[in-house]
Amino acid sequence: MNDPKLYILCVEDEMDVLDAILRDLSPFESTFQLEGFSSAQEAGAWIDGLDPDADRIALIYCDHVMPGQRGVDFMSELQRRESVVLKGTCKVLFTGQAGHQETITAINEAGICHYQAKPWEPDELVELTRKLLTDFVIAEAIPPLPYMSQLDQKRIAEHLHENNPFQDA
Amino acid sequence: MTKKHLIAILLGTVGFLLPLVLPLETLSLAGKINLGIFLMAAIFWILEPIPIYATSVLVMLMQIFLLSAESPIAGALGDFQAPAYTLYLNTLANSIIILFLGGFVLAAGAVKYQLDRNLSRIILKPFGTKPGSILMGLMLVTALLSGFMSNTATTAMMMAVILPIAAAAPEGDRFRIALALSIPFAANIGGILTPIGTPPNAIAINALVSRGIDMPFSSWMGYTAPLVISGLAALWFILIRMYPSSQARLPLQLEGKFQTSPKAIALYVIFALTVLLWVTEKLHEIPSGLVAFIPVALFPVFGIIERKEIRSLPWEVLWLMAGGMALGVAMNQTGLAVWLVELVPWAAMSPMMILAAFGVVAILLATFIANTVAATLLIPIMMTLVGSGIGDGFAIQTAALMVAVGASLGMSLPISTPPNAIAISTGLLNSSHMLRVGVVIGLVGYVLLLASAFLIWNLIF
Amino acid sequence: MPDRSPPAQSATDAHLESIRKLIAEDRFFAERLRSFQAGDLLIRETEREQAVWLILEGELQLSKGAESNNQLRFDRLGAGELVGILSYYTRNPNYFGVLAVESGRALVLSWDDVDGLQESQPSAYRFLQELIKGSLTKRYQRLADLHIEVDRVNQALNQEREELRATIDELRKTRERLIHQEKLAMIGSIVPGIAHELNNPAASLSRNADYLEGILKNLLTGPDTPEQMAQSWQAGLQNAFSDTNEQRQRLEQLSQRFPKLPRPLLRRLAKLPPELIPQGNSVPKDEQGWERLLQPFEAGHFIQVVRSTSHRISRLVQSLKRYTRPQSENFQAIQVEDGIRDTLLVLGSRLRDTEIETDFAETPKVSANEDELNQVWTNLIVNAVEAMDPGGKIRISSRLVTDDQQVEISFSDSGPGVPESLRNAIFEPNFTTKAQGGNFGLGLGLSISTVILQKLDGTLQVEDNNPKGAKFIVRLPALRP
Repeated sequence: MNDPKLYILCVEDEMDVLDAILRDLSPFESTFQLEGFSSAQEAGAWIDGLDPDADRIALIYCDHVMPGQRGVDFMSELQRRESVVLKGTCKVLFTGQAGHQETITAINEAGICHYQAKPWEPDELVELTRKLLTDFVIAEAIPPLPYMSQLDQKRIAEHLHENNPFQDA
Repeated sequence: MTKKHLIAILLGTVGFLLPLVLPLETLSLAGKINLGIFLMAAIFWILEPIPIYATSVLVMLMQIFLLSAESPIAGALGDFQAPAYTLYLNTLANSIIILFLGGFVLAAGAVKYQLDRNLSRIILKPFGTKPGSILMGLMLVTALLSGFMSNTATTAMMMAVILPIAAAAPEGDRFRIALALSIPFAANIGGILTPIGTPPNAIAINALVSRGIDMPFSSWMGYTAPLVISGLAALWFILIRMYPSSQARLPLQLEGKFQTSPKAIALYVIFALTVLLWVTEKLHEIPSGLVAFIPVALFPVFGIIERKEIRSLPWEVLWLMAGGMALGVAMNQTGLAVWLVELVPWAAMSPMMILAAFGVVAILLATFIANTVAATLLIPIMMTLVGSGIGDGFAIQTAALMVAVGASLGMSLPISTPPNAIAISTGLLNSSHMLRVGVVIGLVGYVLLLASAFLIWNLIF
Repeated sequence: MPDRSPPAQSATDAHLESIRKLIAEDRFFAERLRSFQAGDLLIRETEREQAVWLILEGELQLSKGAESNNQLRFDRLGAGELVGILSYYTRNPNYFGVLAVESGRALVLSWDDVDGLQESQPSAYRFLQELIKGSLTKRYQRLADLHIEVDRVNQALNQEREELRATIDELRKTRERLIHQEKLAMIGSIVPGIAHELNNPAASLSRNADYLEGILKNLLTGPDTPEQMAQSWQAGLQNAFSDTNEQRQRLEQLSQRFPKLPRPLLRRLAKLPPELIPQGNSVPKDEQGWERLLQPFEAGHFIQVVRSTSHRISRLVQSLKRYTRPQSENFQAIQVEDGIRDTLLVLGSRLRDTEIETDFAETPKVSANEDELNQVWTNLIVNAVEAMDPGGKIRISSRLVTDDQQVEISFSDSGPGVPESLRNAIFEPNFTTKAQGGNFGLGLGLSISTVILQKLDGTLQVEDNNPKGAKFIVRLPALRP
């Protein structure tokens, strides 16, 4: 079986901010697929074109305050989709100003796993991404070796040790 | 399914049919069928259109249906005294498989109660903080643990130990490469040390046992220990020479505590008892396969391992070995092994040359394909060769050890062994580092193998 | 209390005159004459005075609680009226206290005197009887008047209470409004400080971007540098963000053309204008070569981003200032259509995916500040654009509403419309659906527009557009030609 392609999506309506996010996340591009979108609509349509047999979305970074569909609503919509591609996807909302009601929606309906404030420190973003990708790979029982170089290697090594996913042969 | 897989399956099918259509007059129909199965298995094992354990059980299935007394075509096999189908199936539960099962269960318990981690901590402590001695300690622990646990599980655990050290090293410190290479290579070498260290050992021992030759657990360790120790020493020396540390001291953080729950203590006792009985086999003569059943039975009894752990045991490795063993059985039964051996004009070579040549082939083959598969393909032929009188210059045990140990020495590529794959996945080193050191270790290992064969094994057997 | 003289007044005067004569003639009466000064307390409450006072001159005040602070005045009695009649008839202690408010004289007859009078001087007794009758009648009349007055006052009080309640409601609303204004005022008071603090770094960003541009220009366009680098630098300075879909396509094309290049490098390369991607022999041999091509472009691009970002900060600050201090000068006579045309021109690229239709009538000019009015148009147009999917349509029309001499400009879009429930909320500060550029990031757009228009005695309303979308209607008083 081939290893799945794991995607990191970034949705942000301001192009210079999107550029900065993609630039900060580019170290992951050696092992993961990185894609940027300027609106929820664009991302939503693009996700439809993925191959359920080969592609998995590991992580979505989404701005909250956007024209058209807002971040929380987009994430809720994705949460309701029953695509294999979106199974276990970790959703991160980029916001400094989500209100109480939005936070409730985020947790109950959108399955947001993390809030990331703006502006961010590039190193922190990279570490957060590493942690969330590692969570995803372990939780979804994806064979971790092809992605290990960009993951939390100690956790992956311990996971391999404790779970015997493969053996001498 | 990709195009590559499709072609592999097609090739395998052609491999199976080829002996049946070729004019191989000296080979019986059973032999031809067996050769077909052998070719198909070899192609599937090498190209992996299906997992290697699946090929193993497929081999067993085909042998049961085509080469057993109960086979629907048994009548058409002519002179061939077809064995009962149970002969092939019995490999699934022979004493070597049970020995391995015992090893798996011990490892599962050790992982669950962190015995392996705590042992490594205890052993590493006296090695201090100097890079050279830390490296030595790490390799020693890895080799020792991988002798009793799977090389892969040991590598995973030890990687978790070295990753923080590597991360703390300054950018561009070449010692990181030494660290990242030391673990998988020491695990590969350490696997040679005991019968349960790695599956090729089991294939070899099974081949010997089926010829009525006993190979006690402790004897195996005694035969291989000189090679393992000198191999580790050579690896250590190569690594600190090629990738010296820029630091005078390294931070080695070893935290943890032995668990003291009743179950954990029961595990320690049973674990120690089992290993003790294994290494003292010569004294009490209780076969190691029998001893291995102690943890298999007692761990579930004491609740040390439960359904979850039992389910996650690597059963497919047992299938892989059993299928390999069944293939060896059939090759003897059908005369295929003899026929194959007779194809080559061995008489032109000296016995020593033949032995040396098989060592090279084992190492090369194991570099590219699974070690177990390399051993499975080579050992029946090697054994037959010795049995047929051509290899009179060396003992059958030497032949078995030569191939089994050789199969563990092929480690120059990331795909050579699972421990290599883990190490390369960390990104701490690239494949050229692995190739460089792997080739050197392969050469050194080969020299040590020849030395062991001629200076030790041949004198004993 | 209106003083209505009873019809018996003249009779009372006649009887009083007769009594005065008696006093002058008869010692019995003269002895019982008593003078009093204003301020004298003549009878204490609850005292058993056992006398009847006939006032000849001066004025007395009946009151309860005269000695306490809580004095209740009851009635004033003048000449010809009597005090102590009730006690006399009921034989009870005095009900009222009696205070002299104007000096004068009174005839004080004890109860025995009065009783004896009937026998001894029947004519005097008759005068007295008449006077008593007159006094009581007068007092009853005043009581009736009092009742009527109380009723009237009660009614007035009720009405006042109703008015008060309404006023309190009004006050509550006003207070809320005031609190909001107070907040704005507070923002207003800190805005100049913040504006200064923000404008300084923004200006510094912009200045330094200029310096950097100068330096890099020297470095990258010198005679020794390859032409490619200079071109790449120029392109970076002028680079506009292309949309993500387009970038993805370019990235795919590039990754097919240069399969060996790492993805992050290709992603950066995808931003380069296609004509700058080297071909044939000029394709760089290594990543270093690619970097030499890319970095001048990125340097230019980053300078541009810094510049536009600092510009954005300044615009944000400006709009904040305008919002919190909306009084402006420079009212001019303005042709609204001109302003709208200008605004459409300025918005340019943002309207790329939107169809704009204008339908302008010949309207009179209005009096306004041009910049502010343009801000209103900008807000309304950008709101409409952002509410719609690409390919939407905006129709802008103007006309003169002749009835009340107002210029009406309407902006109709084909977006999702404004739900009834949000029609008020959208005009309030902080209502936001987006975060792009200037005013809009603060969610102040429509709120600012409302404030600007109110200042011009104009209005801003929203209604449903037919068949779909929203229609924002601006009305401004027309200038008389």
